[in-house]
Amino acid sequence: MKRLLAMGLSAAWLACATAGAWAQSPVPEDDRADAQRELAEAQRQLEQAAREVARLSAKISGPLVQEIRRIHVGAPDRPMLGVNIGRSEPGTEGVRVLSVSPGGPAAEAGVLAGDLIVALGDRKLRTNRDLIVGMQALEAGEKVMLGLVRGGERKDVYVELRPAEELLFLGEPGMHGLPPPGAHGLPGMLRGAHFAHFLLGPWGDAEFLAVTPGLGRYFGTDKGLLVVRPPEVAGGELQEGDVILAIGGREPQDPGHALRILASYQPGETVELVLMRDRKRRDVVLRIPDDAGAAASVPPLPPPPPRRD
Amino acid sequence: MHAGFDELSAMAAGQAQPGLHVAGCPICREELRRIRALRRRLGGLPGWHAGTGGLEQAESRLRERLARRRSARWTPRRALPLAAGVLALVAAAIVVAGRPPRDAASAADWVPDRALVAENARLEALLAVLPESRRTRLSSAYTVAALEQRLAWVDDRLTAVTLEPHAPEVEESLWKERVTLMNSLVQVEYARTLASR
Repeated sequence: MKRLLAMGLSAAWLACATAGAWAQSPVPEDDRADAQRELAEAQRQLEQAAREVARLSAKISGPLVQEIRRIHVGAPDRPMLGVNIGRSEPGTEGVRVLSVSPGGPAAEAGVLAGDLIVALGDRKLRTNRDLIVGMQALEAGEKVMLGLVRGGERKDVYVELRPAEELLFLGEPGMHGLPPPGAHGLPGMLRGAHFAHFLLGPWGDAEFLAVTPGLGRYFGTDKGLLVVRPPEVAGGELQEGDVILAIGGREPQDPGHALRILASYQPGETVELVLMRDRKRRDVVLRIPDDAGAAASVPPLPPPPPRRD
Repeated sequence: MHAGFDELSAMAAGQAQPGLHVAGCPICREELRRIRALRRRLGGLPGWHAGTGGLEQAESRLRERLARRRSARWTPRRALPLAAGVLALVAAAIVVAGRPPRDAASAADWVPDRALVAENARLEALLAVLPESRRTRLSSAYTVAALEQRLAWVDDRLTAVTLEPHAPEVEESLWKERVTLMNSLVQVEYARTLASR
């Protein structure tokens, strides 16, 4: 693990080294192109190390949490806030947020570590169990008010709950410390393996930029994702300069959001995109690659961890 | 002429005093402030021990590259934010490589939950101040999403732990995993920010 972390930091160093050099101007075009290639390569190495960190960390903690997993009740599509709460504090009414999952619903709504959650919708919260019970009455996709106390002052935010199943959409088999898909038929895990295949492969170098109002003036829209570099295998459906306005009827806010939308499709399914091309709206259909190639690319699954009865 | 990266980093480290130009130049003052802020924030990175070989090689490579391009005209407005990023990772490397292991005496006083929670909070704060990178490769978005989802899973398990009889070894393991994942996420986001500029 330490070796991987060292690799990651070294790669980050390398990325910055290249970027730092690249920042000085003017430089010959060849040098600049070399630096860009090296930066891209350093970034790939860093990201590979980071994914490896995530995969290995799951292997380490997976067996330890078997007990919790068995006891913890919840349907796969139960709603998720994206916070880690502490134990109830004697003498304090409310639920302390110890950490906020980056990129999660609570993070996007502005919840911070250290906040005290005192209300979930109309329900007042006294203990952490109140929050768990309150969440069971809600559904993914609902927008719910969270009453927070921060620095002694009350602040309300609105959080759009996501299904906990989304946790399974990305990654590799075994990455989340869960049993392999064959054992319990977890479709999300299969999709995770599939998406790892094509997002790290043929689609990996596709590059997108969230459109701002200023940038949007050139493209005839003030929202959407600009295609800076189309996927190499897209066969012309997506072109450089296209702005993606909708994916399957949903408006992508950023590349990560686009990824989450795409991950909700099964391999082999088609997805309708609404584009702005040459300042005119246009509909195109993309096919999510099937997983024939993915199956071949995924390493064999490790044996399930022993149960700690 | 604007102050160079070496000068500003020396000033940020307290090894040199800001000269007349820096004192009167809003661009240099802003970059000095940014570098100081980054140094302060990175001073709290967690103390895992990285091998130093790779870092030394990378540092050596950085210096060679900078030396080769020394004749190029210096443009601080574009270069300094990147240099600040470099400094940030220098600081991270120093903190990571230089922090001594916890000795036996301090280990006895160490409360795992609080120490790990504090490390997490520092990393979350660091992540929050990184500029948002709007331009992204799909593979980068995938990597970030994989880390974020793993973090969400860890948070979900940590929440579940609060409802169960106290299991310190499980809790500590999850918190350690969270620190490791946050560390990776911060690094990936740094590189993504630099690449998108």
